[in-house]
Amino acid sequence: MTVPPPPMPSHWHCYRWTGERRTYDDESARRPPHLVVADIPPQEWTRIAAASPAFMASDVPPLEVPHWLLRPARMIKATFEAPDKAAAWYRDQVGDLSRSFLTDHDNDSSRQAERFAAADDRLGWGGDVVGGWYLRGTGFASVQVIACSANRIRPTIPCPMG
Amino acid sequence: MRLQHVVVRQDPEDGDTMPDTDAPSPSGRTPGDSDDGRQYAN
Repeated sequence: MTVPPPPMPSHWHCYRWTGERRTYDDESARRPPHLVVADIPPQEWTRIAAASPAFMASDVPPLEVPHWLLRPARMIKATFEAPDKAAAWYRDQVGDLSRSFLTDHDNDSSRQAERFAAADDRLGWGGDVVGGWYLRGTGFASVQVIACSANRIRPTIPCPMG
Repeated sequence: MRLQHVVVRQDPEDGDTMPDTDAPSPSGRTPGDSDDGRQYAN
């Protein structure tokens, strides 16, 4: 018996963060207070997120990618219903940041092309896309595209836009 | 001349005035728009 694939998300929310590496390394504000290992109802997600004001106020990427959806909608940088538009946004963000990449490896055009192709593929089947790069100096950049309604990994997290 | 009194609620955490409802700005939340001004038609 074959299991039908999960439904495609209705949209993707896009997030971007740049900052100091030491800020990114501080994990205290990057997770809600409770470890959740199973699917819980949406109202439970809301309650858990509300119990961690530091997590909710932080714009540093969460340790668990779908947890972006727990945070306020004001942190969303873009929203797309079509995966190819979300992919285009991702490419544009990476292009903007590439001038500041620390390593030649990250700036290699063939590597970037592979990365973009992988992002297209993931978004095409309803997944999330996560990218992170060390920047010149002491910075770090993160660009993330998160499937919503429903997210494959955490399908019961409600949409931050209501 | 008639004076108009505007009542705003001050959020003690950020010092900025806040509307009574936490309505998000359109940028980033409108499908197809990005906060950097780019538009991607859906």
